Amino acid sequence: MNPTPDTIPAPADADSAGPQVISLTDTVVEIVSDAGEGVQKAGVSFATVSAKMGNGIWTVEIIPADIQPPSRDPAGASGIRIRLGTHDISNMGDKIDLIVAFNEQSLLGRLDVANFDPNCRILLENKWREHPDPGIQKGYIEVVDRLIEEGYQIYEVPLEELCAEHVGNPRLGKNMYVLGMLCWMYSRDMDLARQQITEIFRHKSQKIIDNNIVLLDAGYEWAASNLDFRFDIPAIKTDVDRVVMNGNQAIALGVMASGMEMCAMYPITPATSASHFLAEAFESVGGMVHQAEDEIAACAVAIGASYAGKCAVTITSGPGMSLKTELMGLATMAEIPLVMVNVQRGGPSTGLPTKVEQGDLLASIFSTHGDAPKVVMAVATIEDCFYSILTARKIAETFRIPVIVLSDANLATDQQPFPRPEFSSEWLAPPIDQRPVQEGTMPYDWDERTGLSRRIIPGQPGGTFTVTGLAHTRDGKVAYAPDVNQHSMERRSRKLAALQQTLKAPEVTGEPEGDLLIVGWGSTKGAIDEAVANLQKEGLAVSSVHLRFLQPMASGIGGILRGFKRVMTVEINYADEVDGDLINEDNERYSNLAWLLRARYLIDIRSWATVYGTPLRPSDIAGRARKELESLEVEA
Amino acid sequence: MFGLTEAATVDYSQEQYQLEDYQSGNPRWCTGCGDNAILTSVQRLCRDEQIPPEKAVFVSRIGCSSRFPHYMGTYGFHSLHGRALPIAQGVKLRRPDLKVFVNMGDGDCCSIGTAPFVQENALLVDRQWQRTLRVCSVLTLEAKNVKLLACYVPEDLMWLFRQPIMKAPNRAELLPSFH
Repeated sequence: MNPTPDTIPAPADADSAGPQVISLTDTVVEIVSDAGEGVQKAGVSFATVSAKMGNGIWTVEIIPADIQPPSRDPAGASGIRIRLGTHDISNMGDKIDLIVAFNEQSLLGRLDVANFDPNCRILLENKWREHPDPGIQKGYIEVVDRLIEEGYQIYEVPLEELCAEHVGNPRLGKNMYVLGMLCWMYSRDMDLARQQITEIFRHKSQKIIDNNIVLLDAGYEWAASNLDFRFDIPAIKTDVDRVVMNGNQAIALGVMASGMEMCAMYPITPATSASHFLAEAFESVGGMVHQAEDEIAACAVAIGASYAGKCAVTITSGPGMSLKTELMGLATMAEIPLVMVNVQRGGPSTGLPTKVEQGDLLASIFSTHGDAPKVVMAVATIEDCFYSILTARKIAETFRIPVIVLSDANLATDQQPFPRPEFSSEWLAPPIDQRPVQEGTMPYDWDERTGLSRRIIPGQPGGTFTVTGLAHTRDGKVAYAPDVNQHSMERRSRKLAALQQTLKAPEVTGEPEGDLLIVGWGSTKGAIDEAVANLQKEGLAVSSVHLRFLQPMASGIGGILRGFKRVMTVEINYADEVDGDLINEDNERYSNLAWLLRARYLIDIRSWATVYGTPLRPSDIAGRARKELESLEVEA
Repeated sequence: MFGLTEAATVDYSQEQYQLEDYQSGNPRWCTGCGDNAILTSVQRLCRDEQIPPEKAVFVSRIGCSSRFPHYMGTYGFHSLHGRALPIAQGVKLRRPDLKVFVNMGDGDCCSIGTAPFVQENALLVDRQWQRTLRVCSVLTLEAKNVKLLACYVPEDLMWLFRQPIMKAPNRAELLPSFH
């Protein structure tokens, strides 16, 4: 350890007034390291403790694309971002206020891509200053000097040395030590922190739990006697009992709560953790997770189980969905209920496996050859992840149709608290009529108006028939006659219209008329809402609307869009930007939602669509909205 | 009856499932096609085992042999090329009370359906294949250039494999290749 007076705070003196206490209502904390140093565990624990104390939280995992990237590499930075607030938090926020880094290269990786508040406090492991490799020493000192020059407040901490006082392998213990430090800095409840450690290491030995608690306490003590600042970030006390989880866990719990009994899957980032969660708990409620030999078979197993009367879900990501498309068409044609969750990642092809994108909307609606009506829903919050699955199953069974639920990599790993769901019998789909089938009943006895028909499942006496993916008549017999195909296609299509009649129009956030309407779908809701609220505070006539049903879309959306001088979608997918040169209005390719809205409502919808692979920042959305408002003024 | 009076005999025939209970429609296969023989023998097998028609599900993929379930008086699922096995797996996993049968051809075994076929066989090898081999009743039948091998597996998953005789001259050579 080589303390320099500039960067190491003096130990708190018993006679001094104690640490400076800074009041906050909203702040962003990050912990970054090389991959495999456990900072995500520390960050998630910090967030969970905060949520249990009543604070609003939002976490974002910072994941390198490689499983084991080279150490001390800016591109390999692994970590977690926690936004913490007095009120509910709905997105990752803008600027980092405090960051803990296990090495200066990971820190550099964040400096390259994230916004740092000019007064950002940086706590940095300083073992590199004494590293035997002069190159590493030099690199470390250069970065520290640069950061000091740029005005950041650097606190060099001998993390590894401090941990070595308590455990044999300090490199593995630093995360919990940092958790202890954060708990002191943000005045967290240590009993909750200890409980959290017991929870996350529940599959490990008591010795490991004890060691981690020792580190947690030591980190807390060290911060208390060495740091000269502390934050006060009060929680608003509510009586509402809340749970905290990430989107994939919420999906898994939704699957269990919906009464579905089969999850057939094949592992794929970033969807796998939902199935892993289910694998741990599903059997206790009579369910089953089946890992098939591939994505296609997973979908086929789900269809088989659904056909046999047990509604099934298959959870995947974009590449998996591409593989499953043919079977989705089969489910549409044979009218077998199927719930499919697509936790979207960057595409096309294998694309950006760990990064967020909303590029699968059009693929979800239009994939599969021929006309294959499917229901497409998008979740906007962690809470939605839970409830949307309940809705999806009911729709799938009532309408005998595949339902695709779109989540994304942002929601998959982010944590957010929401009110503890209270079981209601409405959650469950009605039981399937299992009485013997009357003679003359047909497997596709379509209602002429709605296309709905009774679902008969194997095992019911008198109902023996064969379902098929070929064109068929009401009685399930293969038939290629022109009028048979036309008629049955109409009936299958009308089911979407019948569902559409039951949908509520989305609510507009802000005035129902104005200059600019921002339309979003999926995980961008929180960031859009915050940006719009800030713009409205400035007196700008901006509103937003968020769509949850993308196929079919509720009545009333056209009226909402027409209430504004300009409509802009905000999405994380690709769109061309008209540049006046090669890209013009004749060849411009629109973003996913803009395509849909333009086609249906004949409105010149603009869009702001990016594929940086990161969740959107409210400030960026607001900036783009201002630009749109300016161009509106120019045109006027 | 040998050694019994007439009063001791009971006619059960009216209370049993008949061959007609397993028949549905008129197969549209070419005259002499081995599929006709397979269908008849499977229908007989169902009758001999007295499987309630509503408790049996026949899963097939596509192609003319895969019209099979349409001609059975049971439940059926006429699905996609190469995907009959995983669909049947889904049915069986969640509804063990049903008798699940798959009929498939060389495309499902060795071409588009190879992956599920290998996977399913791996499961069978793991769990029950050895036992199955000992107790299964194997019925072979030759018609034209097709050899039918129907393994009746006690765990009621039934496999029908059609192989051209040229490739599989006898059962002994055919069976080990499933491992």
